[in-house]
This record gives sequence, C-alpha cells and structure tokens, in this order.
Amino acid sequence: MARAEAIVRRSLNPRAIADALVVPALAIGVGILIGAVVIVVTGGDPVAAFSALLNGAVGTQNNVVATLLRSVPIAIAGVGIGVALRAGALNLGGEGQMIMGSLASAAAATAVAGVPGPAGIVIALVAGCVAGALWALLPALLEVRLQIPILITSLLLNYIGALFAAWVSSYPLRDLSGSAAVAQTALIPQEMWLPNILAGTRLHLGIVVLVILPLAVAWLVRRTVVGYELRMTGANRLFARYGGIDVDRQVVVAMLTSGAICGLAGAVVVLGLNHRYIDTFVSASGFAWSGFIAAILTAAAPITTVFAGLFLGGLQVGAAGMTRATNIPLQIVDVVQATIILMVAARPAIRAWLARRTRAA
Amino acid sequence: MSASDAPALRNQPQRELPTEAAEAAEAAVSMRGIVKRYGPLTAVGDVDLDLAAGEVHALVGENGAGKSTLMQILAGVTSMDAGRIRVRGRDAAIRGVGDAHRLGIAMVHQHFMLFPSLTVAENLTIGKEPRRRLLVDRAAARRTVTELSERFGLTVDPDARVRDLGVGALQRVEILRALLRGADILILDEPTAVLTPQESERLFGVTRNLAAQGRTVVFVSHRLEEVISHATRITVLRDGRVTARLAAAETDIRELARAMVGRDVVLRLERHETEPGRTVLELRGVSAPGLHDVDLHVRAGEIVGVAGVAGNGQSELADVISGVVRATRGSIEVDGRDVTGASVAARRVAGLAYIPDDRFRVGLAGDASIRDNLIMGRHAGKAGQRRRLLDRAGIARRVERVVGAFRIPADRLDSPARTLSGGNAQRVVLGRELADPHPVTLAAQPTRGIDVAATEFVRRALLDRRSTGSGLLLVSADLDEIRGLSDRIVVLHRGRIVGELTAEEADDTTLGLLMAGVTGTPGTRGPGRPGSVGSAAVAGAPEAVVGAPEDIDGSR
Amino acid sequence: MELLFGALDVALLASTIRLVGPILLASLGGLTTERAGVFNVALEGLMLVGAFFAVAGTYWTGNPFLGVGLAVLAAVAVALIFAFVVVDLGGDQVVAGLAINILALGLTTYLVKPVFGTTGSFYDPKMPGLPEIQIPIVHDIPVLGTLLSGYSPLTYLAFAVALVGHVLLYRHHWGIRLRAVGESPVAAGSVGISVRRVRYLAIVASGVFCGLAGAELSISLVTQFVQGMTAGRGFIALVAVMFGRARPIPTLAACLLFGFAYALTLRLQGGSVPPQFVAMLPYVATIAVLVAVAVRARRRRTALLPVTEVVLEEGSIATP
Repeated sequence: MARAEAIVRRSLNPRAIADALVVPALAIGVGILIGAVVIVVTGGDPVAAFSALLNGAVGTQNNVVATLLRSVPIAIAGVGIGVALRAGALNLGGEGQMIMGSLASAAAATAVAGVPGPAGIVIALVAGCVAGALWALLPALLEVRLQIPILITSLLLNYIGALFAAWVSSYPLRDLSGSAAVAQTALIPQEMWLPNILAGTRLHLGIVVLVILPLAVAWLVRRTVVGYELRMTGANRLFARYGGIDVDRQVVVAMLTSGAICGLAGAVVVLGLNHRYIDTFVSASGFAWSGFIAAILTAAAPITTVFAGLFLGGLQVGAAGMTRATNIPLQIVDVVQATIILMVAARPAIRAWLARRTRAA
Repeated sequence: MSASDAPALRNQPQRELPTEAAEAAEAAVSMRGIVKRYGPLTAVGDVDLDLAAGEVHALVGENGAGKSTLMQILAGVTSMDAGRIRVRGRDAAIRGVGDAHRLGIAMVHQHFMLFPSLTVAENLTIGKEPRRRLLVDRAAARRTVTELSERFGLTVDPDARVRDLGVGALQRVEILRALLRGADILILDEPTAVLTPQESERLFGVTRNLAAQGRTVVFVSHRLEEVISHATRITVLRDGRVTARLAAAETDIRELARAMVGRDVVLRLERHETEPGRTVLELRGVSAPGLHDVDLHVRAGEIVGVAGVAGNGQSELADVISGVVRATRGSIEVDGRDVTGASVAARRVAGLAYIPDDRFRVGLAGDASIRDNLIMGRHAGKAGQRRRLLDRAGIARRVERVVGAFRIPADRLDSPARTLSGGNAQRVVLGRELADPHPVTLAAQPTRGIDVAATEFVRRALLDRRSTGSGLLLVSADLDEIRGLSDRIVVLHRGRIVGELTAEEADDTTLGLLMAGVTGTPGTRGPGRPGSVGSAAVAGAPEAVVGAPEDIDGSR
Repeated sequence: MELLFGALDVALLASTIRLVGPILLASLGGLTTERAGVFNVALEGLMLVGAFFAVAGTYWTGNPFLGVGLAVLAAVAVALIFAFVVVDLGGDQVVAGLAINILALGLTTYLVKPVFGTTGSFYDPKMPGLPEIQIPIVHDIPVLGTLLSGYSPLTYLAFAVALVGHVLLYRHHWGIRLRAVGESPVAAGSVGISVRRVRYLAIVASGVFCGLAGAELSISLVTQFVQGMTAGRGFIALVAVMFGRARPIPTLAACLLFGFAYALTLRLQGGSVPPQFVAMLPYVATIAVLVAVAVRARRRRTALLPVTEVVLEEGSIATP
C-alpha cells in the first residue's frame, strides 16, 4: 500500500510531469505548428495537409500496418541510442551501426541458410547485433582512452560504414539476378524471414521486439547494479568516479549495448522488411535519426521512447500519404522533427517558464 | 541570540563612534534600509551603512551574515529589494556594474574575474583598450599599467600571462583594474581568504596607502584579528542585520566575536581528549602530479588537519588518497592494507569514507534523486545489492537510517539533489559517507559555503566521528577550522609537506611562514615523524630557508 | 613509390587549394564560436542551407554573386535560430546544433520541390557558377601560376580571412573581447562586455562563413544542389578547429590537410581502388588526425578544445 502510494506521489511530482509529458507534448505541438507555417508559406493548405497526414498514418488497417512497420526500426534504434544517452554518451553513429547490422545479418542469413527453423534467424539477428556493437566500439574506446568525443567519431563512422556497405553490396555480395537500379544483395532464403504475424499484410514478428526490448532495458537500468552505475555515469561522471564506479568501462559497455541494439534494428529491417540488404535504404529512410529524436524527446526513458518512435513512424508514413494527396513534399516532417528537438534543447528554459506559470496560477 | 532583538540594536546603535574624517566630509556612501531577499530567505534585512572618504572600513560577520550580498548591492552585482543609496551626497540608482563604475565604485571579488590566457595589460585594459589605427596599442597599455602600479606600490609585470600568476599577484591585478577604472570606493570581498598572513600584511599596506590618498576601502572579513589591526571602523552583521558599529581602536576580539556570533565566544568546539590508536592511513613517499614525496599518517581517533594556500596540492592529495588519481611513486595503506594500486571502489571497501571538496560537482549528481545519491559507493556492497540486482529493501532501510540520523528532508527523496540548499546537500554527502563506521575519513573543505548552523552540524559530526575511533584527514582553507578541530596539523606547499605542528603550536606566524614555504622556524618539525607527536622538542638546527614569501607570487 | 611521387604534383596541390574552400570557411565559423564559448555542431547544417540558397539565388537571378548573397542571408537566418536557443534560452549547445542540422537537411530537401520542381537534386546547365579569378601576370608564370591563380573568389577570401583573422584575434579589440567572453563569461560581464551580444555576433559570423562555405560547394566546385551534399564537411571543419586549437593559422593548416585528402579522392577516382574506399579517404583522414591531436593533447595534459568542453550539459537530456 505504502509502495503504491509512493509510486503515485512520485508520478504526481510536478517536475516529473513536466519532464515526462508537458515538454514533449509542447515540443510536438510547436513542431506541428511550425510545420503548418512552412506549408502555408510555400503555398499549401495545412488543414488539408494534416488531415491527409492523419489518414495516411492510421486511417486504414493497411496504413496502421505501414506505420507499425516503419516504427519498428525507429523505436529499436531509439531505445539503443537511449542506452548510450543514459551513460552520457552521444551516439550519433546509430545509422552506421544499423547499416553494419543489416549487412551482417544479410550475409549471415545467406551463409547459415541450412540451419533449421528459428536457430538460423537467431544467428542472423545476433550477427547484426555483433556488427553494430563492433561499429560502436571504436568511438567508445577513442573517448575513454583519448577523450575524443563520441559524437564526432561515431558520426564520421556513418559515412565510412555506408561506403563500406555500398562496396560490399556492389561487388562481393551483389545480387546479379535482378536488374535493380541500386546495389543490393541476393534475397535471403524464405525460412530466414521473420515470421509474418498478420495474414495479408507484411507485419512481422519484429513488432514483438518493441514490447520486450524496452521492458528489458527499463528493468536493466532501474533494477540492476549495472543500470545504477550507468545512470550515475550519465548524471555526473565525476560523481560516479568518486563513488568507485569504473566510468570508462560503463561508457564502453553502454556504447556496445547501444551499438548492438542499433545493429538489431538493422537486422530486423533485413530479416523482416526487405529480406535483403538494399544499399542506401537505411540512411535514406532516416531510421537512426528518427530513433535519435525519439530518445532525446523522451529523455531516453525506454518505454516512452517506443511510443515516441511510433509517433514519428506515424508522422512519416502519414506524410507519405499527405504527399500523395496534396503534393506537399515529404520532408516537411523533418522540419517538424527538427523543431521538436530544438524545443527539447531548450528544455531548461521551458521548465523555468512552466515553473513561473504554475507559481503564478 | 534571536533575530527579533536585532532591529532594536540597529535603532539604538550601541556606541556609534564616527571618526573625525567621517564627520568633516559628507559620507562617501550612505546606504539606508537596504533589503535583499532570496525567496523565503532574507539575506539582508533593513541595513544602514555609512562609508567615509579616507577610511578602511571592515564588514564583519559569519558565513551567510549578508556582508557579501550587501557589498554586491553597492557594486551593482546584485539588485536590492528595498532601500536607498546615496553616493557623495547624491541619490544613486545602481542598476548594474556599469552604474557602479560610473560612480567610482568597484569590487574585487573572492573569485578573481580575470582572463587566464590574456596578459596583465590586456586584462587591465579590456573594454577600454587603447587603440592605434585599427589595432590595440600594446605599448600604451603597458605604459598605463606600469605607471599605475608604481603609483600605488602594486607591483605586477604587464606582459605576464595571468594564468602564470600566483594568488597574491592576481589580487593586485584585480585592485589595479578597479583603480584604473577610477574607483575611489574600493570593495574587497574576503581579500585575505586565499593569502598567507605575510601577503595579507602587504595587502593592508596598500589599503592604508589608498585610504591616505582619500579613497574609501571596504573589506569583508570574518577574521577578527586582521579586522582590529587594519580597519578604521568596523560594522558587524549577523543574519542580515547590523549588530554593532565599532571603532577599531576601541574594541577587542571578545566584543567583536559576541556581536558576530550573538553569544559569548564559542570559537572552539569542545574536543574530548582521546588517545590516538593504531595507524589507519599511511602515505609513504607518495608522488603524483602536483604532489612530491608526501609522508603522512593518521591514527585512529585523531584529526589531522592539512593547511596551505589554495592550490598547493590539497586537492591532489585528496585525489591520490581516494584513488581518483594513482600515485606515481610511494605507497598508501588504508587500515593496514596496501591500496596503492587499488581502485576507488576497492579503497572504499578497505575502509575509506570521503567527503569531497566540491559537493555539487563531485559529491552529488544534481539530476539524480536524493535516494540515488545516498547509496553511491554502497550500491555494490552488502547493503545495496543481491546478485547484481539492487536490493531495494536493503537500500530503503539504509536510506531511512541516514535520513533520520542526518536530518535530511525525508519527503523529497525522489526529487533531484540539485533542489537542495547548500547545507542540506552537505548533509546528504555527510550522511552517505558517515552512516557506517569506517576506519578512515577524508574530509575536504567540509564547511565551505554553508551557513553557520550547518557548519556547526558538520563540525560536530566530524568530532563525533573522531570519538568513535575513526581517523580523520581534514583538508580546509579555513585556518580557524583546522586549528579548532585538528590534533595535528601538516602544511602543504607546492605539493610537499613542509611542516607538522600541534594545534597549540599553530599560531598565525608559524603557520603563515610554513604556508609560504619558509621552513626551519622554531616550533616546526620535519614532516610526519611517527611517535614525535606530543613532544614539543624542536627538531635539529633551523634548516635553510627554502623560499621567500614573495615566491608564491611568481608562479603556481 | 611511383604512385606517391606521381600524386604529389602541382596539379594535385592546386586541386587541394581548390577543394579546401568549403572546409576552411566553415572552420573559420567554428573557430569564431569556439572562441566565444559556443561549441558549434551546427556548421554542417548552416553550410547545407548556404549551399541550397546559393543555387536558388543563382537560379532566380542568373547572377552567382547574388546567389552567394542569398546563401549568406539564409545561413545567418538559421544561425539566429541557433543563437536564440543557445544564448537566450540557455539550451544545450550540442542538442541544439544537431537540431539545426536535421532542420537544414529537412528544409533544403523539402524546398527542392517547390523551388526547382525536381526531387532530391537540382542541376541546370544554363546556371552560371562563380567565375575563376585569373591573376594577371602571375597566371602566366609556370607552376606558380597554377598554384596561385585560377580559384574562385571565395577561396581567395577564405585564405585572406584566415590570415587577417590571426591579427584580429590577437591584436584587435574584437578578438580580445571574443576570447575574453569564451574564457570567462562572468568576468567579461564584470568588465562591461555583453556576453550575449558577443555570442550572438560570433554565431552570426559563423552563419556568414557557413553561407559562403555552402556557396563555394554548390556554385563553385560544382553547379548543382544535391540533398545532404555537405556530407560531413561541417564536422570535418570542426575537427580542423580542434586540430588548430581554435587558432587561425594552425586551423588553416589542418584544413589544407583535409583538402589534400579530398584532392587525393578525386585523383584516385577511376583507378584500381574501388571508388567506395577512395571516397572514405577524407573521413578516415579526419579520424586519424583526431587521434593524433588527442595523443598530443594528452601528452601536454590539455583539453582537446581550448574553450568549450564537448559534453552534454548535466540535466540536458539523459535524465528523465
């Protein structure tokens, strides 16, 4: 009873409410407003645009499925990037880690094609995780050994990873059977595909990851010693070091975990969605950046990050519908998203403003 | 002492003794009914203050008495909530530092407002750089500085980079800058806090000189001896109100202390005599960046104070003992166990509690909950975990115990630690570190920046700790605190231990000379000789003088 | 051996100088804000905005110089958003900078359609680029002529600003005040320098430089706009600032190094090495330079950047 009371009290803490709900809600609201302004300025009708957007995102069963399909990699990458954020590491390399994860899982899926049933799929998923983790390892090591900021090295590695994957899919693993304009690897055997869970749609088992992963990460962060050390490392590195936490190890572990989860996101794209590695697909879809936005919008709380991922996925799928209906370009979504992060960056000012308002009221 | 009788004191100023100078000329500054509140806290409550031309006026009070705030209002750094200020007989609206400068008022802050990578000349002329054609005229800047420094006897090298200067020189640069801006009302905020006694003497030579030229010097202090010897008039503040206005020539330390503290002198906390036990912390020949060949030991049931001018290796010493920095040479033992190569965590397990000097930067995670802050360092031990999972019941029991014992606000355990006041933040740190018995306690600047009540609480907690048989190493910039609490005192200078004294031997002169690096004075002994404590013998012949006091100005 | 010597010829050096413009201009912007105490991750986005509007301005007016003007105006406008969030709202510099980058990428890609009527990229053979300046007399000297003559006006401007910047930073009162604000904003305030004003001006200056950098990229090196065409150059410029510890001359040196990597990339195109690996060269070089800089910094016990620390501010994000 007392425990329930404590939980209620904690969740009624005005600061907690402000951080958990008001700031993201305000950020999203202003983001949409700015998006509307841009539409008006460039000669569109914002009301028609946004209703087309809403319809495109959740209007029909097919649209809902499309939204879910798009949200899966976004949300997974978001949770992954959030793990690094909790340790105070700004992993901007989610894209590179996803690309390497995709590539590795595609290669593995082809290589282990004989392995029966789920074991093969698991191997391919693990291959994606390992590749993603390895791609995150170098930035982590460079930061803890040489104080080179993770944000710069992880970002530069995106370009290197993309070019490497372009080479692999253009030469050694190129699919020579088709005549696709972009480079891609051969289709993986059907038994390696993530099983379909809704007949007549492309909805695959990857959606289950959206339920299990955030719960697992939340439990890890809140209830384990490692999680405590991770949070304290992110909250104040000097304090963590003073308290006896091996901060460097925490940063490396957080980045490895972060990279592995981003790699998983890439593997899910291959095994569940495209069933092959398609060059430039991951970067062109902007999965990792949307994941980054989801993580940052929710202060890296894993469960809410998934909801933010669903929101962003819906926004993007809806925007595609809007483009078809109104001829307004898709990238209006990026404007909305950028405004949202700008609002999050200004969180201290928004907090202060909210505090003044609550006091005045 | 009660705050309610303070206004009565103000309305009937006891012994208001204006000097002749003050009567002759109209007051240089007159402040009336000054009020400043921070939320529910009244920092300055209805204060009147007159400053005369040609006087050195001391503003005295304990930490948090409101003296710095009052001066910040006069200097335009802080705004006031009510009150009136007249400067040279005219109403003055001081809305910012710029207004104060135009009125000839300048403040030298406790934390120097200088630019380390710029030269002294650039620091002094910034904002009003002399120009020649398009560029800054360096020769003219240098000339201005040299002229001014000669005129006031404040020697500085105009071409030196500020980052290479010692504290004394930095302060002279600050004072020169104020004078260069034409300040004739100069406010010095705790000017001697970072100086050796000898450097302080030199500073007061300058202030006397300035006053003789008809300028007004106000200095804020809580060191009663220097106030009596160097001020013309003294105003005492307590809890934001004036409790006495005195002429320095006609008062004494007892009277000042009573006005300051509000009860008869309790300058020293009661310290039970204890018999020191086994050695619990031992450093042998320890070197690290900023530390050279340090020998030091602390025994159970004693407090060893570490004195020294700020920046002479105190924080390096704390780092190397706590394990944040590894020793490059020598060995460290905690409770008989060699921890030289051990991690921070291993040292904590070996029995080290550590109260760090910067509680908001190092001692707490401002954005983590108070609960999370209370278990740091214990989270991986028996009380915190079971099979790598956080043991929430165990943690709750521990938090409850600490919160009760250290009077931490219990209703906000899930709020971020950043919302705590300085005193309560320090309670959280103390509670975490002192809740369990540990053979060794390392306390760095434990009372810096907290109010009187909290200070007393902290000091009592440290003394309690001593009587339970823990050995304490106390690093503090507050010499009174060091003398009041320590059984033995060691002095650091440029990363070396240059002397060791008993509390009784540690008078200003002896301590000051050691802090300036002058060894061989009677009454000091060589560093850390086990078993020599308690004997008053002077060790050997006076050793050679290592460096003149001026040396510390040269470089850090 | 032959490959190496063959590569180190005059044409390659000239190509280095030609390609260094965008990075050098952007890093001058990064240097300015760094000195004012603002870690500027937004260089990439500001440059991209400049690149887009340089093409748009040239397309509309037919005059590449008006294109440059529009690029500068647009980049400054976006820089003002950054300044507002960072200076006035006290927002986290890194997060705000990344937001600007995402905004720039989205906005420019979005605008391709309404402005040019195409998607993704825009190229018009009739659209003029910036002219190459042939310096009389010098141009006809062999070797020297190739090295010194025939670059875009923005390249000359970039080198001039780097050299003049050195004098400005250390000998002009602007420079001294800029450094003062970065080093100790509180102290700068206490001597009557407006920290807000100086930081705003520094960020606006970085907008100007990034606008020029983008224009150099899109209407001088090539004459087209491609979405995301800056391709990490803003971050490479940031690394150049780190290499030079925010001093103009060493920063210029770092930029030349990266320019050389780009020149090598062009040279090796079509050779035996797969094009993807050739294209990696600037990024690999940048990471290698970072490592070298960091090793040096560690040996000297200094921070990677003289003024700002590249960390998330406490409480900015990672705390729910």
